[in-house]
Amino acid sequence: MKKITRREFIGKSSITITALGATIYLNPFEAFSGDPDKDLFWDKAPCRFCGTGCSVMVGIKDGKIMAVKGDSESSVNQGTLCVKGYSLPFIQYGMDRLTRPLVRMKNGQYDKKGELTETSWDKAMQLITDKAKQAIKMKGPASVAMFGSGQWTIWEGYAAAKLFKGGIGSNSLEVNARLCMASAVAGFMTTFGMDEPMGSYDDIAHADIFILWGANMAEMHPVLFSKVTERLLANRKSQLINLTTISNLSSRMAASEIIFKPQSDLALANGIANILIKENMYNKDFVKKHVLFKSGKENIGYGLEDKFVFQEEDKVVNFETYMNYISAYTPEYVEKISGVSPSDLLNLAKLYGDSKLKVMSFWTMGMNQHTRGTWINNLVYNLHLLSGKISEPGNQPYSLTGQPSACGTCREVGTFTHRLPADMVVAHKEHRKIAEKIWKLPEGTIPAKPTYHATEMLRALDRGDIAVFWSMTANPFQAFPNLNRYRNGALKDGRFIIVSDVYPTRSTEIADVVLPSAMWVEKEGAFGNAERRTHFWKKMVDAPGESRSDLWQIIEFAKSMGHGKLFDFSPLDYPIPRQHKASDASLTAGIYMEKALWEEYRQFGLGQGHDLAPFEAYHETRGLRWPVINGKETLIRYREGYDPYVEKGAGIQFYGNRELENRAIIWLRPYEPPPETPDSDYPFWLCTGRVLEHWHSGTMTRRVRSLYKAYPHATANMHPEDAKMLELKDGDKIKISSRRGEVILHVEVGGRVTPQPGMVYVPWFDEDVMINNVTLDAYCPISKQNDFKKCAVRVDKIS
Amino acid sequence: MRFLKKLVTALLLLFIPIILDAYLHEYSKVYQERGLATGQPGINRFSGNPPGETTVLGRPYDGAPPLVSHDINGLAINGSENECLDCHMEGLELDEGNTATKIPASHYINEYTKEQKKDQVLGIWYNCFQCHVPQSEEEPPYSRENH
Ligand code: SF4
Repeated sequence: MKKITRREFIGKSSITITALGATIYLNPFEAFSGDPDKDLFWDKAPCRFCGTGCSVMVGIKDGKIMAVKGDSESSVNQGTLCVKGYSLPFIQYGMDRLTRPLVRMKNGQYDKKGELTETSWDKAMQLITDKAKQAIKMKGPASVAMFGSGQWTIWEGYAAAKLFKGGIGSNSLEVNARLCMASAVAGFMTTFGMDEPMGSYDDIAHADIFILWGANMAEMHPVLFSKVTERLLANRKSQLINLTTISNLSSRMAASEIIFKPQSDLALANGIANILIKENMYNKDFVKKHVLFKSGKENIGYGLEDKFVFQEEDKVVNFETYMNYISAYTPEYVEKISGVSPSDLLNLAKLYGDSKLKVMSFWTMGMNQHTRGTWINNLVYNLHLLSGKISEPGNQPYSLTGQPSACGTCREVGTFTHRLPADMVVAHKEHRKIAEKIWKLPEGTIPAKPTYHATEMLRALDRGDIAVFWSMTANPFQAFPNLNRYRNGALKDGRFIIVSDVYPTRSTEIADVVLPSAMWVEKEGAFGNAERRTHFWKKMVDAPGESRSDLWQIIEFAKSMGHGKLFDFSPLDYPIPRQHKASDASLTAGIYMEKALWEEYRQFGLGQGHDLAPFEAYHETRGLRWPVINGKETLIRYREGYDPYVEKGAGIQFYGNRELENRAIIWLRPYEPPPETPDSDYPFWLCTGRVLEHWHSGTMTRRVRSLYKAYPHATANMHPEDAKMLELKDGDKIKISSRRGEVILHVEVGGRVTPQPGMVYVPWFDEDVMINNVTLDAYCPISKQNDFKKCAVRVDKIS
Repeated sequence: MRFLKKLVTALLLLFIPIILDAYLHEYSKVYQERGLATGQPGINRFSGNPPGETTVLGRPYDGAPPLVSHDINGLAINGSENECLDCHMEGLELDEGNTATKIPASHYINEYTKEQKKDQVLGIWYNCFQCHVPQSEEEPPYSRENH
């Protein structure tokens, strides 16, 4: 048979297409090989994976998930999904799903050195309770810690916060969102006094210019990237600029790809601001009316030492001070730091400065996982504030979120050591009082002092200050930087580790107790995505074996610890739902637990700019973007006509800063170098991240055969020049080592991403490539978020 | 009454060992850890067969996007061209009996905005790699029955 090479064959096909034209078939199900609707019961749910928060229709038959479809009634994804979303029907059904509680035992007794042995819920819960009570007695309530997740449902996070802060009296509650969104939060709070984006995804359809700041949206937020693509193809004026340290798939649609050196985004942003002012391209009227300038503490450290503390010293300054401050960031100086040419910098400034162009900036982990994460968030807001391109359709700075409910659960509920719901903090007496009132607790119940943020929590565990550590819907012992220290710490005597999860993971392997969790549509849930959209789903199928939802586990633990009252609600107010499956938490309590918790939780936000709708509204819609006022969601905040919180005639009010005349802050923040830069011993940068096909540590997606086969293993992407220099070919085995640890893996040259020369890129989804043994546990002193994007490593060939 | 007591006792005696046995059997098993770790890093081996020289792989389930059976390295998808569409737009016959899977009508419609194009795949469906992924020769250590 004659072989056709791809080139020949494409040449041929183009002709055929021209000759034939396109035919259109109107049957939408032509896409399916069978009739998917046949015998299936369909219901809506948000996708289990990323912060985009796509809506899916889930097809059920005989108690099993058979199919999903992109939900065409949702404005988020408009009928489409990415390959992870389409793989949802498989994530529950891996062969090694955990279905029984397990306790490490020797001779029928708990033993840290024993083997994981099946046990009953009662026995496991009793053991956990004994250990927690003992820890409280010996070391105080703060020694009992919970580490949750941006993949918790809203009520799971809320129940955990209520139990820990209002029951146990421990502020040792943190979430993996600290590793993913804390700098975004700190950026919002310091600039606007209020968390979360002002705009929504609807803005994409109105924007002309899209600027990606270290965000490979094509892989990490694929559906949003396709919405951007739609705009790029439809609008001739539209351009995408990919500012990145790595050449990646997002560059395919870009007008230009601008490669900058790690950490130099700080200089770039200041450099653009400098040009805006020097060339008179900023919006004077906007700046005069709506902006305040502030300087903060500099040379702030990296949090590398235990018990590191940071105290901001902020000061209001005037425009001239700001102007002088950034005048140091000349194009030549910026080029020296970043490698970005003056002409590219000028071009960027023109895009931000041209009043006829609508600009959206997007970012995620590149800016957030950064030892100056809060600063770079501030600095990109500066550009939108200087140009006045904010809070109107198509003009938005847009901080994307990684996890499906990092916003809904972690940020809005406030499942961090220092936080309470609705942007309130434990350190503030009035805030504690509000929480105590809603929770019907005596004044003074909630401890006023934050204890440990995530990294410090793991350090406290290693030191022995934390004795009981419970991880839910997270995989800290694969995910944390400088992992060797923390895995070894957890294995020390006197540390009691509980892991609730759905599959065996790198964290369950070092746990003392493993609890089988119900997941996604096996329970009733609520997520909040990156556009302030709260989206509910119902329980659709039963969880296997004895697995239970995290909500059920938290409430059972509360009861067992003597704090059951926190979850007492009246069955008359909240009767169990009859129209759909009730969750395990509801059935055990004899009330509609999710609804009871929701109605209590939403009291925190009412009238505070965080208004959430009554429970039912969310089951009836594809989600609503808060604040929801009189049943209406808010698409754009801070602008009159869109946001009911803005006073009539005010035009724009950044009302998070009410005490600062509703002004947003332009911050004076410098470029400062990262804590570790390549040197002669460790000559390469290491950057870590995700890939399109896998979610986080891969525990779900790697159990889906088609996803596994699409991207089986983590490899090290290198620049061809570097590979040549080290005499490496594609597929060669290498060792990557840092001052903290090493990992062995294969090199990939010419894959879908190509790092800049002098950098290796390794995704972290692979249990056989524990790249976090190598990474550095430095963090942003303000947000306490770790930097997974920069540390110094060496690369050695292994023969 | 006495008889009843005896009967209950007898029944209890009869059932306790059964219940106990079931309980012990159920709850004393050592868990066989079967994670995804194999102890070895892997290489991602793809067949590298060009389009037109492979057999269609089909879909993981009815309604799922079809998997890609051929090499996609170097295929351009950008603002000015989309090489996937060259063959899949029309479902081109590449060789006798070997036809590229034709893009369905769904890709010309945005059901939410109701936008519809006759001869152009809409932007939200344009980045083919978002949903359609090739398959390497690697097999997962578990979940073989999954797709
Ligand atoms: S883009 Fe994110 S939310 Fe949407 S289907 Fe993919 S993983 Fe799910």
